[in-house]
Amino acid sequence: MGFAKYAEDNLSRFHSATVIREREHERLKGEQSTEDEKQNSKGQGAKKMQEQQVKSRMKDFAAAKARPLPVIVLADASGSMIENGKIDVLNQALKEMVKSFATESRIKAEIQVGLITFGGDSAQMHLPLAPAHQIVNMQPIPAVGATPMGQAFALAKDVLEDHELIPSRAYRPVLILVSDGLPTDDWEREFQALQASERAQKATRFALAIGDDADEVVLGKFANDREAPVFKTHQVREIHRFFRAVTLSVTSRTASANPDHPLGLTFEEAPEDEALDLDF
Amino acid sequence: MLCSAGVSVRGPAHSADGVCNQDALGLWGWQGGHIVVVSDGLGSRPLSHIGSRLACKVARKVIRSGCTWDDPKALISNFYRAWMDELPIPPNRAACTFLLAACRENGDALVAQLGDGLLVYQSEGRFGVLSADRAGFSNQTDALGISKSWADWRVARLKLQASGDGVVLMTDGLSDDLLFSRREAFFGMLRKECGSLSSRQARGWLRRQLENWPTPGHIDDKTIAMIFRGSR
Repeated sequence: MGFAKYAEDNLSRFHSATVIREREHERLKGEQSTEDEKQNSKGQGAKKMQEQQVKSRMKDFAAAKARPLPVIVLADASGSMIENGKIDVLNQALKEMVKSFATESRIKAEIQVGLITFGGDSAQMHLPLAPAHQIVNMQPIPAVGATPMGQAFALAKDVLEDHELIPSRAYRPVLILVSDGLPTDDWEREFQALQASERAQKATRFALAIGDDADEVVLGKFANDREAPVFKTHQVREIHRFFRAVTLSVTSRTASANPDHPLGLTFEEAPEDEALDLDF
Repeated sequence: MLCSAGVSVRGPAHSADGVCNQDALGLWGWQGGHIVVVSDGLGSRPLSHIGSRLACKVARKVIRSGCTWDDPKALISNFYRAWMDELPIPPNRAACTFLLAACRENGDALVAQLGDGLLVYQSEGRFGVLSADRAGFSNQTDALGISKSWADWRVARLKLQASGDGVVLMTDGLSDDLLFSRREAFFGMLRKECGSLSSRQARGWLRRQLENWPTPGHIDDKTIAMIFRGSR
């Protein structure tokens, strides 16, 4: 047997053996793959069951809703708000804000809105704190009488301290104060109580001063976000601009990685005043 | 026989931002007993993960040094001082909460908490909660590196001698979403599920639970650790 023959023989033997082995393996492989498929389907079934089990084990113990992000508006409903249609514009702006909140995703946080009005003899919970998407028919605020702002602070404190209404897992609440005049009651005592309250003092507070008569000292003390000092407006249409900025601030929080991080107010550019075509 | 288990998973918010898990977990055997620590680095401090990891290591070192538990205040002071000494950054930049449970073989246990999170236990067959109810809103807490007052700590000595006794520690990523009325049932469920598993199996089971946390919009890192006395 020459070298070539020897090599061929080897190759042939190797080839035949390989062919046989492969055939055997194919058969085995086939069986194996069927087994694998069976195992896989079983495994997938088991995995699905396991996943369902995983979900079912915890859902009995964990909250089923995203954490709430409460937004409470303290709105001036005194008689002076009727002038120049301020109350009408405020009603419209609030309606738009609630509508925007209602359409926001509730995956990371559920925006809740409450409305406290202060006008006449007392402050009232005009709209109890409720998820924005459940608010369907918001009644317009009537404007009448004096400006009992202190009572509004007291009511806001009660709401913020209510653990049933705002659970501890809630994100830091937002308080918004809107006023066009001087408080007519003992606002300082109630404001101090609000600031001293362990829970209420932690809310982020924004303030809107409408017109020259608004008490900027009170509103300045109320606003506690360094990046959002009191927003002053002399034009009624600016109320919309303020609430659009509040809406953007709140909705940006719900979309951010950490909705607890307070965001300041970013205002849209004010529309430029168009000059009249006068030649003098 | 005492057994322990625990796991820490990074929250969806940190995963999305590529930020590391700011929670830390320590789980050690010790002379037939166990030491478990969970710590939550404050989200507002970017380097708080350094503080939380170090808190676990330093707690082990202090407990293992053989100091007495008869004076918990001195023990906590030693721990706090050692934590600050070993920190490579200023304490307020490494602020973190701290929950500890250390249990000797005979069931003599010490539990301590600073800041938010939840520590529940069953001692001599009775269920109890060490943690105070949260006063403010989520993510507002006392922490190592911020608090200097002994009054901010909650400390207790327990006896984990009866079968089924145990202690469960968790960070606020879990405790804030846990239904208040279901705390005891949650403790019982964990004991039932994890009590029959090895530490490794329990860790795998806990990881799957935490990664499938059912509350919509959960974002926080989640850490849980436990010690149980089994019937074996």
